[in-house]
Amino acid sequence: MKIAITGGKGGTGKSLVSAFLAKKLSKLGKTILLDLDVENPTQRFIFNYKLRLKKIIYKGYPKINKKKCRKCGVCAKKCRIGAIAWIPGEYPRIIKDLCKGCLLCKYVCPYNAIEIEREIIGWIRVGGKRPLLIEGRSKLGLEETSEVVEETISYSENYSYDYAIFDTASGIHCNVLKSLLKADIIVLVTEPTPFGISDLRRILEAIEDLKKPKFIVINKAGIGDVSEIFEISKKFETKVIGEIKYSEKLARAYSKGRILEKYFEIDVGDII
Amino acid sequence: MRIVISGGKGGTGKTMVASSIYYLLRKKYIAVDVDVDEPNLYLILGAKFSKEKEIYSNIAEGKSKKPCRCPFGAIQKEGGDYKVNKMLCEGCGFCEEFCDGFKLKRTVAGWVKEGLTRYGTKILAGFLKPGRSGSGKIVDEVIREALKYGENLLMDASAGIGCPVISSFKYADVALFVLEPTLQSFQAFKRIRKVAEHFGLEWYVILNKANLGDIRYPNTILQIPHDIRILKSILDLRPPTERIKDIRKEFKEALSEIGLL
Repeated sequence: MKIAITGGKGGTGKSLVSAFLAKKLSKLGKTILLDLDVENPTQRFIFNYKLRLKKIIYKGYPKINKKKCRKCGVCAKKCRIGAIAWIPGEYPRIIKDLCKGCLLCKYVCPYNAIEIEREIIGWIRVGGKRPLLIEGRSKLGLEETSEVVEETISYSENYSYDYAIFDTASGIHCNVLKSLLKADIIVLVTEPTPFGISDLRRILEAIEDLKKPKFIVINKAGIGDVSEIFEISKKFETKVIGEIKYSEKLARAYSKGRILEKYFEIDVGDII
Repeated sequence: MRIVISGGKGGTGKTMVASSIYYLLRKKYIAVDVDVDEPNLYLILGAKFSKEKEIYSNIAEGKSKKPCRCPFGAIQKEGGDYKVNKMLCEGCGFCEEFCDGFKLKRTVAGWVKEGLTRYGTKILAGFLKPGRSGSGKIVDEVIREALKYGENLLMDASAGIGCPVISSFKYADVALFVLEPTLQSFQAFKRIRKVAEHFGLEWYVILNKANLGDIRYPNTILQIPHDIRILKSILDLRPPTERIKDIRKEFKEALSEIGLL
């Protein structure tokens, strides 16, 4: 069973809930935790694990072979992204910042003059047990990180497990959506504040077409009015399955990497 | 000056800080909400939008009985046909070029909205259409539109260090990192600092919820404790510097220190 923990808004407690669930589920069956917040993975600090590098993730980008290139400009014309600059009579130039690495240019080149240049885009590290942590990390400055997320999820399929927890990044763009597409169950962590509620609505809109069970956990319960969260929950056919009470003690302990379970009121049975 | 408020880790209080600073600079600065995934600055500034521009990008459409080797794995079997999963499509056109039955279509990827804050001052905000990729492009468009009105921008960026943040850094002069004294925030700081320096940005730190941990950062111009009055202000959707005198004073001092006020 793959459970994704997300929420849209940053700082609502996705990693906190992921860690909590991973610990609880480790007692019920073999559990792996995937840190898919690849721009800044920090689960290793919560669990204080030493991780080993298991895989380097590469991406192929196009490179013009000037010996074969006849400056015909077909690649530039066919690139829909506009990532190839070309002036007639000159070699085409690939604009790295815009290139998505689809390699369409390579396959349309009539002279087979475009080669693939591999670049490191991320790393996968693994360590610990109960839960086992699989961490994806993207190269600094990498603009599109969703491939690192995807590769980390694929890599995790090498392991046998009863439960896999996907700790996703914040936001609603493709690095998050890719994690949600691969999950069986989605847990959304929110907070009773205007920003938390607005973000919850947006992410639920973004994943409206995903027909998977969705559950909501309310973090920092007690600081604001939860009624709107229950309304949203109903509107999007989800269920609120628990809350974490706001506490400075909990926040302080977590800042140092410790989870105080007594503040959690989540029925894990509801999810599984 | 083009100021970008970011922080790497989400939930550190970027929008709270951005709104607090904006309130003090509102007569000279344009508010720019570039957290296009989850915009919130416009909410706390009570924005009313009067103008809207659609931003387009390409998404593949169509179906086929045969599979297609989409480089992003977006062509998947659904029922009896192979179809485009819009959540995964990058609009590269590989399927249009090499497979029968697929074509790129220009669709709305998001919006740039323009209007006035409750203070009667200019604000622009970017909205990514939920489920779409391409936040970077929307960020780019919002900032370009904003620059038509002036050079003094106060930009509230996304969480993280990916493409929407990088797109905002490209245009900025100064970065204010809103950080927490936590391990998680510290890790994010190490990474985001490098990106800012790569773009040649001057950067300073505003430490939020300072009493919740012992970690401290270089270049810190302001420390804000976890304060229930700030929380109340946020719940009321008001910038904390508008109502809380001592917090207003602290922000003013910090901004003077770095020559912004």
